[in-house]
Amino acid sequence: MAATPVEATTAGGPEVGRRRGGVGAFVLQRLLQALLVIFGVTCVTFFVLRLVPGDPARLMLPPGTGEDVVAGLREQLGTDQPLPVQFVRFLGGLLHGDLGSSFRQSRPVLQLVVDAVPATLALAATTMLLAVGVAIPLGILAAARSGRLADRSILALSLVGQSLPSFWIGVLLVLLFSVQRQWFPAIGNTGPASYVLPTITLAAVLVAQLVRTVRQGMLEVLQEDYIRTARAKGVPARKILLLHAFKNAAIPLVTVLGLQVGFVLGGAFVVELIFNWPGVGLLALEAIKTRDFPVVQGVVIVVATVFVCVNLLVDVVYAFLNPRVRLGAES
Amino acid sequence: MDALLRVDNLRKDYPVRSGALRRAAGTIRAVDGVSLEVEQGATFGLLGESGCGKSTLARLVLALEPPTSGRVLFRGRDPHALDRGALKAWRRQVQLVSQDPASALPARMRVGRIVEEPLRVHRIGAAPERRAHAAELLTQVGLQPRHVASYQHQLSGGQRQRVVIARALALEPALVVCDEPVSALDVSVQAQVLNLLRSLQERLGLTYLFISHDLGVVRHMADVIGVMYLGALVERGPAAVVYAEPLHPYTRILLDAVPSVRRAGRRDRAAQPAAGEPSRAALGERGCPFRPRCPLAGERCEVERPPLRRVAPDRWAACHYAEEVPLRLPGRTVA
Amino acid sequence: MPRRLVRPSVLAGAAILLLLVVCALGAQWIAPHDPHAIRTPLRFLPPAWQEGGQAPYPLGTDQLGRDLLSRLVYGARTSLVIAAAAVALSATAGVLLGLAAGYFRGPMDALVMRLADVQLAFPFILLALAILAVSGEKTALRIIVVLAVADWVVHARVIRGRVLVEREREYVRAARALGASHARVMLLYVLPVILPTAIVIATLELAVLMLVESILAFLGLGIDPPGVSWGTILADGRVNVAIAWWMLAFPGAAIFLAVLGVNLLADGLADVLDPRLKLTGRYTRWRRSWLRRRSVPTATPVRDLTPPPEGSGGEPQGRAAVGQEGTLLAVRGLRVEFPTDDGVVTAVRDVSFALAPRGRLGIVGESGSGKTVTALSVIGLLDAPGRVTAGSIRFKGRELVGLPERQLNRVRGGEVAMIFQDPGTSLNPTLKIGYQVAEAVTLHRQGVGREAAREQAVEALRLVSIRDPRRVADAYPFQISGGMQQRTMIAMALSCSPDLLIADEPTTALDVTTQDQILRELDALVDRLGTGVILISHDLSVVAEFTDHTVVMYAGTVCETGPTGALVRDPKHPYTQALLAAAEELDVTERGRLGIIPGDPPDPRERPPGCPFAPRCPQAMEVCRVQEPAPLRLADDVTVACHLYREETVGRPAAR
Repeated sequence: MAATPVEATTAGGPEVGRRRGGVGAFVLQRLLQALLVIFGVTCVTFFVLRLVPGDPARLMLPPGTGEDVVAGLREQLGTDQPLPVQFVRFLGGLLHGDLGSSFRQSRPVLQLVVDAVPATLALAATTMLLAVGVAIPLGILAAARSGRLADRSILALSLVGQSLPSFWIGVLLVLLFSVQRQWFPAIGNTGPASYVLPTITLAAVLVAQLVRTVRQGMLEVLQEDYIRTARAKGVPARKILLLHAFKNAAIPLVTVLGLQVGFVLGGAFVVELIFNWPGVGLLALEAIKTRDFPVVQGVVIVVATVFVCVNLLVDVVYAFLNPRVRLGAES
Repeated sequence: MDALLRVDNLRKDYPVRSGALRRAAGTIRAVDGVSLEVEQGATFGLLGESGCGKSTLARLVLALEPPTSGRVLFRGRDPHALDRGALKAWRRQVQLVSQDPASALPARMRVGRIVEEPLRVHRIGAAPERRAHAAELLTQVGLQPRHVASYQHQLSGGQRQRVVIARALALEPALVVCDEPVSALDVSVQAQVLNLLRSLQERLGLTYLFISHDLGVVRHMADVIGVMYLGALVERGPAAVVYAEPLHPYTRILLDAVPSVRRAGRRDRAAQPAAGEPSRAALGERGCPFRPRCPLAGERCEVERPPLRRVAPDRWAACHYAEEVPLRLPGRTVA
Repeated sequence: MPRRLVRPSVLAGAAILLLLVVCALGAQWIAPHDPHAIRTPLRFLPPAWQEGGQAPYPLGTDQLGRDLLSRLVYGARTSLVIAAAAVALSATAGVLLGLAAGYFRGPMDALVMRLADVQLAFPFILLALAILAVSGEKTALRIIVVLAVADWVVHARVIRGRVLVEREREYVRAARALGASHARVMLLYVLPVILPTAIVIATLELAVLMLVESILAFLGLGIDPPGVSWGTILADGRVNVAIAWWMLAFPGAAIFLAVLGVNLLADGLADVLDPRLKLTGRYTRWRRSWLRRRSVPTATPVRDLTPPPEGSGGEPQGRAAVGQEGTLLAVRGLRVEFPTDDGVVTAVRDVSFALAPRGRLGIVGESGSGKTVTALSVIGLLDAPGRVTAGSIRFKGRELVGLPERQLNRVRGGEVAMIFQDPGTSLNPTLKIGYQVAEAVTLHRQGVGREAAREQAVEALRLVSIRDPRRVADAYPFQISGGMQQRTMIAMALSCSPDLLIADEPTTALDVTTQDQILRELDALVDRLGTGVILISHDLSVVAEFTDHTVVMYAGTVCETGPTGALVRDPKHPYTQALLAAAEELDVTERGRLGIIPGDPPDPRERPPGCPFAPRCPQAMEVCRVQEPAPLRLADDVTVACHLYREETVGRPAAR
């Protein structure tokens, strides 16, 4: 071989590690998308609620009320204006942080929602933590023991978990542990103990789904060539699973988790009803019963915004975890 | 003397997008001013390594993508200037045989149907005629009539490639673009397919644009050869002559790099290996793109990019020192 | 394939779905009573088997005295009809939109994806509630529409993903080159490919929507009477939980079983239609599940021609000295089998060869020859369920077959290293290059700390002619070229100075000029380090230039072995002759007709009796089709397995 290694080839030149945009560009792109989505959500909420047949004013008043009373209420609510006008007013208010006033309680919607959001977020947070803490180890285990008893059992349990209606679980848990045994409270947010039953209820189905996702992700990664290389190097099995494989499987997993937050937020509504948990779910359900549309609208918009923000955060984490994005791979 | 296919200074750029708003941040020049001619009934071999632009050139010739500049002239007419209806009719004359038969054939269509498909698309003949024609095509490429009912996964690699060829012939094209047609096949099967292509050419008067990275295969099929490097033609000439005495340093290096059974035993360590890998970084600047790797690079090469010039009656090379290449780069001797 | 569908779980799921359909269609005949019939005196009757229960009302009655069983039957109808109708709508819309978005991309795709994002951002339940609450009547149609609107996103996303992949495939390009229109390509080519996935997703979503329908009903927004929903029953049950547990248990159980049944069916369908979704634990063939504690071959004793040296069968802590015969690697009678759905496939049978220290051995063969399987078995990297079922692999005198995983791990990388074909996928994309190379060092060199290992890694990279090794060490694999990636693999393999390097098609994925560079560099490196090499390739020319000895394999058996120079000048086996002819003719500067071998390399699953090459051999005789030739030693290190050469005519071929 000619010459010393340094001169022999030009391999390893300036092509290495060119930064092109990287995390900043990626996040900016997602931020713009997020804003677009929030705007979309706002529009859709607004129009859908108003386009559904049925006059809110009339529905709010007892049947048989005189037309003039109804008309008066309409004017008060602002639903007598043409739709585009209402929309513009609404948007204007939105920019000032004004989501309108509750029809029933004459308090600003924003305040009502902001008061209720923390409880829901707390519940969602504990649920996600529990779910991730249980699902990831189980999913990795299932993938590691693929085809054997551990895997089949975990899959079976996961199947059962996915099929259980969460509200049934919730009600049964209340029955067993609150009514019959009084181990845990069933009503309201009264301290750490009161988190237990609602969290388990919400998390049960989520764990079932996540286990499958983690398992599938790990199985796909374990098929890859670079795992074979690691084995050929003599890397012990545990290290392969937890470092070589999981580091790659975690990347798409993060994205899935972001989406699951939406599922959790949705499921929280039912759970809040069962356990009388003072979150936005309960607020919204009450508002629906009483036809208090501004509140419903406000809840939808705020919850959607929270979801979008969480996903934005998820995207940032994704950008950090995925070297291709972090370092700006060439197109 | 009008060539069947003529390519005039063809150029194709792809934008590179980066940043948050996916703004164009520059271009990649995939095909860089290529001109060539293919005579009727001949085979033009296009040789090059990965990233040299030969597949892009194929797509341009097939009118699957529009060029950034330059023209493709088939029988004197530019397909990119045709409207949609005329273009569709034009496609009957130029067909494609591509690399991986397993992915070039739809998985859920029976072989007979696959071969009939071109006829269906162009509404040629009635159903019984199409079926008959398909069966005949299958026998022409060496398959049994019973294969009409098979699915592609039931056939071997060589058989699948024959189906691909049969499909390409269904419309009786004048020009067939072969893009790495045997690269995905076993060695013992490659010869079968190459022989088939040759005999079909003789029988049907086909013209081939034959693209490959495999020097042995191209040598065997081509009458005229073009060597591509980073999007441009660096040498062009009759196959036998180019292989025996290349006029461009890159061609020489390519030829030397091919392993040979005649050199059984340890490698000849005294000979210089080709240094480095193709680098697009050198493209933007003036001067010859091959300069960083060229053993003959001189001062002129830094500042002046050599055009593809005629060095001998039939031979073209894009090198300032083309005439000296045979002397200064004699190549590896065969033991 | 349909065989896999007939499993107890899937059958159970199908049975449940069937039951639901029956209830849906024939509710009025199955239900014992009118579900709306109010019988106040009979309210809160417990199930028939409990005290106080009555036989005509097997599952008890609710707060208005309505028969629970009848209500459950009608509830099944509601659940199934609403969910099925909603899925039909959402799947159709979702598949079409996903297809269009994935195929056309550009603005269409952007629009659909943004719509999907907006949709996903909604807490769907809330919007559904709001719409239904506002709209006064809750007809089945309204609920169906709301569910469908919420669900289309799932279908669209999955289908779009699949279409994005399919449209890059060659057959799409080929169809367009034919002149097929976009519509034709989408509907005739792409759609059939994604349809199985669509069906699986639709089944899954059926289960999901059944669940959602019951949630809505539970929240008070189920279908208005005369419709009956399980969710409503359950809501009533919740209110009366203290006095009537059956009103809680049975509807919940009904929902659970129904959803479970559909999920089971979906899993079964996924297995058959679209295994890539990997929803289940079905043990598919060729899948790697190597995390067993030890590999257990059922090794039959091999006719051991040379007994192993004394004492080398133990568990040496450090490196074993080379065995007495001076062989680095001795493979004898190797047999590798893969149990599959279609029976046991023998990928490699009776393979024997040996490698001296610092020697260079080439293994040549085409697809199905078993060369890669042989290489992988040496260090136990076979994909399960493949196993070595017979034979011996002795490395420096130590038997590797049956060695426990922990000890095998010490051999791997440290004493025997392996590099693979595609460097782009063989390096971990989330770990830096320096780390991956240093890992080999820390695993096998005792007492080397992290810093020192890193330094050694940089040195190893320098050794393989990487110009800026420190920078490369700090980079990720995707940032460097293919040639540099393969050099990294080599650095990783040689960093611990192994005694043996197995290179499986190391340059096949590279350009010919890069291949040339790398083979030369490797040549110099292994010379310097004194490493023995096994080079595997389909290309006889590559093997010819690099190795001292060559093994030619065909259909899992060895055809011929011998010194490379001699083998190439005077090949004995007809297959070797054919390979050589092919290599030469594509090399020669003359054009003529290529001598061809008719037929194709055989499928390991279908092996006729006799010599595997017989169907294609120009010199095949009667005996070749009947009896498999045994390997015959023609000279000191030349063997050939061909009936043309017989014991008594060693040195001269029997007939030419």
